Amino acid sequence: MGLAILVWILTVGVISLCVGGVWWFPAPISQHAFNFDTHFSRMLWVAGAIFLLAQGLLGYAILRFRDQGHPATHNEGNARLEVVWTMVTAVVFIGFALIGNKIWASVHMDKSGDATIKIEVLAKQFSWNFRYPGPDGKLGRTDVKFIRDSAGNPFGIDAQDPAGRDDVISSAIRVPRGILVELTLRSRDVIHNFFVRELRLKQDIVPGMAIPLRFRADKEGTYEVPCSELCGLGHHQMRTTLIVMSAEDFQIWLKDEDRKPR
Amino acid sequence: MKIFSTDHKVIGKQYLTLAFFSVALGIVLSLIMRFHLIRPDAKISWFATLWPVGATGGIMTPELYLSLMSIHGTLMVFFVLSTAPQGGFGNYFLPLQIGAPKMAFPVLSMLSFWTTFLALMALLASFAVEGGAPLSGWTAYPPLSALGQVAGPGQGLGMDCWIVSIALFSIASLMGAINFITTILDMRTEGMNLMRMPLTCWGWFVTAIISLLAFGVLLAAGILLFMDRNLGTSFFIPAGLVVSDQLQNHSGGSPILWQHLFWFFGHPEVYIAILPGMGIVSTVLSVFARKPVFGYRAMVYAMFSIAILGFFVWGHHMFISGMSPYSSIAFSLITLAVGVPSAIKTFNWLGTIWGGKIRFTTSMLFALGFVSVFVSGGLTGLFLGQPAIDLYFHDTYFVVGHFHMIMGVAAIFAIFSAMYFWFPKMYGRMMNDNLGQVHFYLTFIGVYAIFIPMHFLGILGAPRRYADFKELEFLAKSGILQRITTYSAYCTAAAQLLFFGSYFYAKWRGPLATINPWDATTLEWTEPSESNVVNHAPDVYSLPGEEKDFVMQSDQ
Amino acid sequence: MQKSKTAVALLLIAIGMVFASLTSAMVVRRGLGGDWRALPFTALSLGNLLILMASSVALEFARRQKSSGLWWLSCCLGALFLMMQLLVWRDLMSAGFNVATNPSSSFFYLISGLHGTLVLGGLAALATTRAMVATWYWHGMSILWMYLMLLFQWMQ
Ligand code: HEM
Ligand SMILES: [Cu+2]
Ligand SMILES: [Cu+2]
Repeated sequence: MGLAILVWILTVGVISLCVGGVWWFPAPISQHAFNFDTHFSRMLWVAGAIFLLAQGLLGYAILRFRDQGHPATHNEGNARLEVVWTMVTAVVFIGFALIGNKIWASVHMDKSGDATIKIEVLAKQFSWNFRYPGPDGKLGRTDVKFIRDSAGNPFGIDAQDPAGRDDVISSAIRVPRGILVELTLRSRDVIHNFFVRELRLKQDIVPGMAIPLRFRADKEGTYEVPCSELCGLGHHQMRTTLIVMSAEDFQIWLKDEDRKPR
Repeated sequence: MKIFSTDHKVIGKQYLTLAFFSVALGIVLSLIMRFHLIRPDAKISWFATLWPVGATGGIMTPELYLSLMSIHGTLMVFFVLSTAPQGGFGNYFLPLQIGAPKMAFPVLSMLSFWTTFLALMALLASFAVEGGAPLSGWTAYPPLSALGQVAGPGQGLGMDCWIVSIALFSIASLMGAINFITTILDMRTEGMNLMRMPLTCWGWFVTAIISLLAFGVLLAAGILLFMDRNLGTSFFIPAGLVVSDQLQNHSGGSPILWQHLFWFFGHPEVYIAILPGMGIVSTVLSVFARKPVFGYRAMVYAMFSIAILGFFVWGHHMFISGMSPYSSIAFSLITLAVGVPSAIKTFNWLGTIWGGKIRFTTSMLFALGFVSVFVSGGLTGLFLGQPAIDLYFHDTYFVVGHFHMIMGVAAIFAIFSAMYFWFPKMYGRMMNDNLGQVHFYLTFIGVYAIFIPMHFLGILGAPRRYADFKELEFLAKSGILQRITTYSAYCTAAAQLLFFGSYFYAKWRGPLATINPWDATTLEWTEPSESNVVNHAPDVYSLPGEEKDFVMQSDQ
Repeated sequence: MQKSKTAVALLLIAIGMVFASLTSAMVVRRGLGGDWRALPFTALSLGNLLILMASSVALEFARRQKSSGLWWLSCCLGALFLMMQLLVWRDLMSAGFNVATNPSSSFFYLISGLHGTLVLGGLAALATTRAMVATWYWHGMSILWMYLMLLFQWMQ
């Protein structure tokens, strides 16, 4: 009896927390993020309905069928009902997967459009480094044996390679607004993860692999990037920021950085 | 009571004792973690006493937090959820329920328990060795777990302890699995054909099959990891790593290979944790609704489809790992497909109580609570099973909320339900129902209050396995969620004392139970209850005032 | 006895899963890149496979004809196999392949070591019992080694 009401209260409580939206996603800053939100709320409606229905029925059954001296019905099941609800859930669940996969495909399989800005991301315990090709448009050669954090060379750029002399290195990632950017994610030690909430994008960074990730950010601003894969004792401190700037400001910044002596 | 007993009842109780110890320790660790998360700078003198290195001066270091987290997860998943329902209740009640005099191989049962015990000791030893317990979580992803002490203090000897523990646990589970399957196939009494077995037995059967196929993979993966760490091989470690400015001498391995092996085991593992619970809940619902299980056959088929499909969904833990985006799509389809039999079971549970005459014993309350948390935890799985949504939620607190609900809390509820249900059979005495009711309500409200806020932290984007959240500006306004979680955890943990108190009181002082106190129908209730207590002289016949002309020695 | 048959069949399945996962790890690891080197297998390892299979055949005859002599012959062949495996290891080491030299040798030492341990267990069983299931286990180990040798050849 009390349990029925409690189940209902908890159900309503959970639903109102979702509807209340006090603790919710940050505003989206890209088309993908927007699509994500649309799909998420669609899912939330359906899942919410199932939640309400299932918990509601549970509460109802608890209330209605509590022992009031009545005899229980003898019922060993109902094959037709069984088939119906199996089919219905199968269709709903698989339908979800199919719809969601479109969004997934747009992130990881869509190779259309040229990313004019290419940035190399290097994660290491417990900091971030980003590398931009200078005016020559080429990243310099690297080798682990040249890695010298103290000398400002976390990437191990080969000083002999002229292409590397103008590379720009930054500890926060800056990108121009409205332009397709392609990151190449690399790690020097353990697995890390690049996550920007406002982009609704997350990707593990695996040592030994160079993983591409493309996005186009449409809103200027500064966004936090928390490392989101356990990487050791400093995991919780491994954060940086994504700074989305106007295209002009971005070019100015890049040029200024390039002129700085390294 | 012999310590190295081959009696299945004794072994069942030994497993349960081990699980209760582990759950108590696991909860204490989680409370310390929760405390740290709301007061990261607090100076607690006994921290310094317990962990002179990890908490010098009483302030917890991040590495200590991560160690507690890793041991908490490992204890809970392996030593609680994979022992109590299967090794504990399974060893005790499987023979009784199928009318077998004992397990197929009593000595094997004993070995499997004591190997599990050694595994637990190996895990706990990690706290005592240099560097302390490992900090790479219960999933131990390399290279973090493979590089040794350069990767963090607990990654030295502590990590080796962890691997040894897990390897021993795998071997013990394989022994248990062989024993269970053989018992069910070859030891059923006359007339007990498979389709007449109680669903509890089906739960143990299917779980044993999964264990048989899954633990060997974990064992193999553990050995490979051990070799990478100690023999200089490169299965999981790629070339050219620079850790703490040291170039590592390895070449060409793949961190993702570990993830494939681990999750090929790991996903079936969550079914190992929950399937016996599903069997128990089906039984308990039917006993106390006074109705047959709705769709018995469908329940059996659902368990088998879960077991089979469950071996093909491991990739849903790896959507974001850098594995091929095409395989993600396949994995997500199968993942949502495995949701279907789980949903069917939920429908059938509702069908079982529908039209019934429900008796709200404590055991029944926990079974009903199980259905509720199973629904709550299952629905978030629909989100996480899609790579598109995992793009945001992977490794956030949303995941922590999800798996605690569906795996942790649901399975614990099933364990409680079973404990209250079978207590009279195990100890010949009754647990106090009023205390039980209070225990249930506090726990039920408590788990929602602990784990629902975690989902919202996840929606905000809070990453899991963070020793503190001070530096993340976007979480500045979520302190209240953290505090609700922590205070609820304190209260819920305190409510468990009620259970332990009630348990020990009933064990020694509880009112005597009759042979079949719940009017249940399965075979274990035809036997006299455990520990017959003798109350009077052997020859009490024709006592005035008694209905019958004899009073058994065990009657009062 | 029925239950020991069931149990040994299950044991073989469990062992099979361990080697199946090592196989898949090996396939994946070899596919990763250019560092895989072929192992110099000699006639010794082939001959050794034949010894183990001969031991299985002898055991089968021993079981059918209830011949104690053949049973012991099978055991001796099994022990010989184990000693020869050590020689195979020695050869590999003198060819410069240690455990950590190359993933191919890491896998070989691990897999042959595990298999050897299981064979050792089988020997202990054969020495103490004449049960039919012991022969099942023994045949299982022979077939497993045949499969593993094929795998190593294919992985060259
Ligand atoms: C009082 C109840 C519990 C509380 C307050 C609690 C709290 C926590 C917390 C705070 C974490 C760490 C999250 C993080 O830092 O990422 C955690 C992790 C975890 N918990 Fe619990 N927990 C409880 C019960 C359980 C139970 C019953 C299980 C059984 C499945 C469980 C399994 C796990 C696992 C597997 C992890 C993950 C460890 C890892 O990330 O490697 N917990 N829990
Ligand atoms: Cu990190
Ligand atoms: Cu899974």
